[in-house]
Amino acid sequence: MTTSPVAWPLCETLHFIGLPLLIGAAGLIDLRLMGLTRSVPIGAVVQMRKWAAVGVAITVVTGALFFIGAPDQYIHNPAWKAKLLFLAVAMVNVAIFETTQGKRMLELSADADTPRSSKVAGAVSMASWFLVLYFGRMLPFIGDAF
Amino acid sequence: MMEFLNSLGASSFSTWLRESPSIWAYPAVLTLHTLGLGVLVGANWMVDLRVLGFARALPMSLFERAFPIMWSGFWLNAATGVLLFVADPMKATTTIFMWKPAIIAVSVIPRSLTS
Repeated sequence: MTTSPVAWPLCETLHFIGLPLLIGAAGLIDLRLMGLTRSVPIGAVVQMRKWAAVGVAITVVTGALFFIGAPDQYIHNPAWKAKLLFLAVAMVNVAIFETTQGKRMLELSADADTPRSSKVAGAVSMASWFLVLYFGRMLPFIGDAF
Repeated sequence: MMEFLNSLGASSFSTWLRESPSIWAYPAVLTLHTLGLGVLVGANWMVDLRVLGFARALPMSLFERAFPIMWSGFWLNAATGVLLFVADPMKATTTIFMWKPAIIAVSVIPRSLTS
């Protein structure tokens, strides 16, 4: 990762391709779950989960490669610890949503309001993904990466 | 041109953006630029994927909601992009710098004409 002239920039670019896939898909789903875009059918919008999952896969794999390449930049970095914490919050939130509410979303009528538990899941998702992005961006500022 | 870039870079606002230890200077602008990237490109790709024939169950009403979101991401990034340029005007002397506004024009102009 650190000796090749292309490996790091390539992974960085891929990380920033996964980012909009994740933020775009998850963000549009979260808005609907929070009840803000009710004109968009709920059963259709939750199908965008697969694009969010592709975004997560790309960013987690490239993120892991950054860590393997230069662990010293991250292991003691407070911004990195905060990033992983909110990543865990986001993933646990998705897991709870999938197991308790995922299927129910498909049974709602297209313009139905969502239950309160789904509104909470959408808000937690949006807040935690933003904080993952924020602390990722803060790696060199709050911490001392790069 | 070089004179303009030099004086812009030497201005107190540019110096503050670039050198202030406050996380409300350069780090905040960079974070907002990254958030805008996610919002603009992300919402755009969802529409593009639908246009390309994926997720056909998604109706056109999604587009009506996605376009204002895309434009808010665009203007957030136009504003923070200008600030990032002001913080480091010498970027304009590199070849790769000119590619970016050119490619942005290519992606925005057809969108503006058709929407």
